[in-house]
This record gives sequence, C-alpha cells and structure tokens, in this order.
Amino acid sequence: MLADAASADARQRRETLQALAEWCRQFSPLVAVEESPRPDCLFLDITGLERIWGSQSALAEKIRAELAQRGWSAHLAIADTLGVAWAIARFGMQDAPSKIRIVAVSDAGPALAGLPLAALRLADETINLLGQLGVFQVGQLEALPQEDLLSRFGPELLRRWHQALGRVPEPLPAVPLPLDLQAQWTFEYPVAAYEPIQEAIAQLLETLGTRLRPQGLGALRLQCRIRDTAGREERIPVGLFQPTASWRHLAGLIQIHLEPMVWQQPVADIAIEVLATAPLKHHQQQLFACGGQPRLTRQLAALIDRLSSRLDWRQVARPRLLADAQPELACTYDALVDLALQSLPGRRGRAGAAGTNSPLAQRHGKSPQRQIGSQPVRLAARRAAARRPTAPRELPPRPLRLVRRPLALDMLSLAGHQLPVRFTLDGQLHQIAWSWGPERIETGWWRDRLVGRDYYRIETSTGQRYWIFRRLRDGRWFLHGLFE
Amino acid sequence: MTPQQSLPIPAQRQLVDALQRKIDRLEVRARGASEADGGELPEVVSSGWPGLDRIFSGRGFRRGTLVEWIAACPASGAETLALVAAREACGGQRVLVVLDQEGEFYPPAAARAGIDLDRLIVVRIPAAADLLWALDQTLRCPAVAATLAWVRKLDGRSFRRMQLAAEEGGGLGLLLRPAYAESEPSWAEVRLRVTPLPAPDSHTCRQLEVELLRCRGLATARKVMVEVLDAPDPLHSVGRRTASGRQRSA
Repeated sequence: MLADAASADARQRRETLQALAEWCRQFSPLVAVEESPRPDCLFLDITGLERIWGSQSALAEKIRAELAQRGWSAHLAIADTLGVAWAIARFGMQDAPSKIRIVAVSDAGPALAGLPLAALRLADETINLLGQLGVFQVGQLEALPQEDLLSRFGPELLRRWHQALGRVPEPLPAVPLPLDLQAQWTFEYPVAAYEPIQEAIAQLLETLGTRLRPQGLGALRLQCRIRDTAGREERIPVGLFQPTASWRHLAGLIQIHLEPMVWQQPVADIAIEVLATAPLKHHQQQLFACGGQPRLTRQLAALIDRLSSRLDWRQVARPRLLADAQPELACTYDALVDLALQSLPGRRGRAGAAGTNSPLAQRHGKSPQRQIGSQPVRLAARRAAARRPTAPRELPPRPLRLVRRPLALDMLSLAGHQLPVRFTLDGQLHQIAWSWGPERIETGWWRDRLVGRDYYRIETSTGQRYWIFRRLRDGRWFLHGLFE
Repeated sequence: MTPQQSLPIPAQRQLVDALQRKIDRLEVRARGASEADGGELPEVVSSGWPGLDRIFSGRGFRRGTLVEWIAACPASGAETLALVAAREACGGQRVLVVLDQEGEFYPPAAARAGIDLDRLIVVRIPAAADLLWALDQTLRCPAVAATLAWVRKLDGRSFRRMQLAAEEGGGLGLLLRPAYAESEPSWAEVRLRVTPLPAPDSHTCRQLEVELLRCRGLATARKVMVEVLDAPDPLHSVGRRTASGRQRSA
C-alpha cells in the first residue's frame, strides 16, 4: 500500500504512518511501517483473513474506500511476499486504474521482471553500479552469475531479490499492540473491610507492572477508581516524580489516600489506569542530583512521590523567580511532578502508549494524553524564561514572610511627618523607630490593574521589622511582609 | 557512694561534665560509623555565625537532630537565622525542604540569603493535620539535608516522633516556634530563643539576641548577639554579650 504522504519531514511522516498503522489494525492484526529513510508504505499481513472479509479484492477495496474517505489516496498491492507487494505498489500500478492489483503466486516472477531495480529496495549506489553495467530491470538479474553478484555487490542485493521471490523469508516488523494500561477488579461479594481492598489494589498494580516492565516503561501518573454498590466513586490520582513499575511503591502511595477513607457502602469494584508512562531508565538526575549519589536521588524521588500523593501534587514545588516588579508576582512555583514529566527526553508532556478508548478517559471527556500534556504550564514556563529575572543578590531587601493579602493598617500620623509614628497590628500598638525607603513600585498597567506603592522597611521600638507600603492611589497604609 | 560520702558540689559538676563528654564522644563515634556508607557531609553543621557556633562544644549543630528556634515575638528575625543554618547544612549540594503551612514563605528573600532555589523544595500544606505527617516524612529522608518549618502546635508524642525521624534521616530539623512554646517540653537537641534588639541608630545592621535555652552537651556561653546586615551580603556576625558589657568582633 502506498499512501500519499505529502509531508517532507521524515519524523512527521513516520508518526503519521504510525497513526495510520494503528488505524489499519481494524483490517489486520499485523501491521508494519516501511523501514526506510522516507517511509510512505504500510504492510499488512492478510494471511487467512479472506474468511472475514470475503475475498482479497473485497478487503483491498474496503481499505481503499476507507482511506479515500479520510482523504488518503493509496495504491494497494496484494502479493505473496513483502518485496513483490512493495514493488508492485510503487512501480507496477500503471495497468491498474483502480489502483488495486493482486498478484498471484505464479505471476510474481513475471510481474517483477519488468520492474526497475529500485523496486527491489536496493541502495542507490548498487542501482547506479548495476546501471553502469547495463542492468536496469529486475528480470536481467536472472542472467547474471549469482557468485559474481555476491562478490561485487555484497549480500544485500541477493537478499532483497530472493526475499521478493519468496526464496528467503522476510519477517514483518509489525508495530506492537498498544499496551493495555487498565486493569479492573470486581468483587464477587462487595467488601467494606480495608484489607481485601488493599489486596485487590496490590494485585491490579502487579498486573499493570508486568505489562509495563517488559517494555521498559514505568508509570508516571495513574488513577485508581473505587466504586461502591451505590455507584459512587472515589478517585485517587497519583503523580510520580520518577517513573516506577514497582507495585509495592505504587501501592504505598495509594495507601496514603486509602487510610483516611471511610466507606458508606461496600466496595463493588476497583479500576486502575495508568495515564502517563515514561522509560524506566530515565532518572530525574538533572533536577535534584544529590552529589552524584543515585541512592539518595532515589530516596528523594520517593519522598516527593509520597508528599505529592497525600497532599495536592501542585503544592510540592520548586520556586522560580520572575522578573516582575510587583512583589507578590515576583515568584512562581513549578510542581515537581510536572517538572518530571516535562524533563522526559523527546516526550514533552506526551504520554506513552496509553489507550484512548478507556472508559475513564471518556468520562473525563478528553484523552488522557492531552490532560497530561500540561500545555499551559509549558507555555507559561517558556514565557517566563524569556524575561530574565534579576539575580538574587541584586534584589533590594525582601521580607522572608509575605502576607497573602496586604493587610490594611490603622496608622497614626503626626502632622508634619511623612511617615506615621504608630500603628496597631494584632491588637498590639507598635511604635515606629526607624524606616528605610521609599521604594516606589509602579507596575501592572498591562494587567489592567495598575499597582502603585511606596514601600518602607520599618523597625519598631521593640526591634521588630516589617515591610509596609502606602498605596499611592489613596494614601492608605498596608502591611505586606515580615522580616522574620 | 553513700550519702555521707557524696562529693562536694563543684566536684559533682565536674564528674557530670566528664561523663557527658564521654557520652558525646561515644555517640559521635557511633554516628560516624553509621554514616560511612552514605554521607560525605561533615557531622557538625555551622550555624552560619561563628559567634553562635562558639556557644556549642561541637562548634555547631549536629546532623540528625532538631533545633528549636523560639521567636520571642513576630517579625523577630528567627527565621532568617534558621535559614542561614539550613544553607550551611545543605552545603550547595543537598536539598532543603521548607514546609509552609501559612503560605507566606517568600523565596526571593531566601534567594537573597544565599539559598539555591534550584535545590529548594517548598511544600505548601493548607491542613494542619498534614503538617506533622509531612515533617515526619521529610525528616526521615536521608537525601534532605535540612528541613525548615513553622510549627505552632506540637505535642510531646509528636515531638518525640520528629526527633526520632531526624535521627533516622540524618538531616537537620529546624523548627520555628512561637513564644508560648517555651513553656512546653521539648525533644530538640538545641533550643534557642531569638529576640530582636532595637537598633541604636538608623544604620542598616539588624541586631538579634540569641539565647541558648537548652542544649545537650556543654555550652560555653548563654547569650550571643548576632548582626544581620541588610546590604547585599546579609550575613555577618557576631557579638558576645557578657556580664561585663558588649563586645563586638567581626
């Protein structure tokens, strides 16, 4: 089958063809993408499928029609070997107006004979050399002595030729089936006790682990759904800092959520789905390398997993300075679990081979991959990185505690003094002894919320230091930070 | 030793000190053996202030212990001192974890104090019930060199659990406590009270008095005055307040 892939980018072609190959699985369980620098061919093994589709031509017609519906134009060739099918699909379609050609076993040789050498999937070098010798068609190879061909052109030429003729077997490099990353457990009799639920979860995780591990993959995000007899569901999301296939570790993380749970009704079934995967060998060394000690890095990753699991994973984060004059906006937090996902090589936020047809995904209304893509986080990170924040040491003094919302202060001023002399805070009267400032911050006009403040560091008569500001708009005073 | 033959008080004290020194040496040796496979970090962490270090016989805080900083009042500067100790404990290689329950921790100020933000994890914990659990988990992790947290409420059992967790993890647990915690029992190895002193004039040095309330092992002095500059290099030490007056050394 030859598809009209207009994209010139090799990787994009391959990805498009991979997607198409997945789609073609409805016709045959064994589908392969052509392995070449510029692939534009898919192979399907249709041995024995006539019973399902009626006949080979019916199958071919159906495939062509479905592809045409999707906007693809294809040449289909059915033959006994990959080589002949490829050759006919590429070079032998002149006589087939419907773009489908079925080559019987006995016709393979004659069909190949008239085709150019390129139909044998040979290297350009070999084709040029043979051309210099006056050999342009496959049929001419018969006349040449085999030993000479071997010695002059290496084994490749003979291999391809014999593969096409069926004398040498050629395996189909089929695309592996997508991993089934979902496992479900239904209790025969609904249970309310903690131990059977824990045991069921452990079994499910072990099953998923045995599916992931042979592929060298570990889970980065998963969701455990527990449903009771009344149909109510509890969902436990787990986000990991480091991919793992260890069911014990994952069970521990889920247990953290399970412990405080109380079941109104007995539990009927449990389902666990892996929403994002990553290669197991990938370690988060670049994020928190502990002096080159992998054991410590692993232990830190385990801690981050536990914290992210019990608390909201967005709250376990690393701070990042931003170049913003407004103090409350001068810093942001990047969730570590998100950073872990984004740091995967070549897979910026995309999940592994997660099935998109899972009921959980449908319930969410969008595919899990897109959910994990965290597109907004990535874009924000890029925008922020574009603005260079000030180096920490160059910052003017800042308080270690910034109150979440500036607190209006009752200030007592004396006539003739610029700064107030007393203020009340938490029911206590403070006398201002010294002040440093003003530091004027005027910013935010592009946010439609202009901020104009004159900041002062003040020290009270008891030595306590606060960060206060006067709002330029109305002259009111606010407490913004404490120099703890 | 029968009551009639009990030693005079000074001799008793000497005996107790000698025994205490022996215990310390044994414990240091035992701790050193258990860290042979992992930590290349020194056993004792400087507080970041030489004057403060001199109070302690070990010249600093021991890893695997809790240090309690009692803030005599709000905005006392206690957290700044604790943060500097945390910085020393991490040594630029290891991770510092800050547990922030109020949601008020301000990283730009920490960066200014020399904390490497790339090696800082901030865990924002809205629920008080989760704070102790998170503290326990973090203290227990060997990869965390220092943990810093404001802990308003800490009962005896939980405190003991934290102390054991710190021992297991080998990191430094810096607990910031409010003033009323002074009357509560403590399982921390070191208990310090930080009181801000009013500045005599408007130069930018901030002066804090650090009083040692409790310390396992010997202490050579009880009170130290520490100066915190607001200038780009905010760390400066030292002073020792003795009975005879105030001495300052750079």
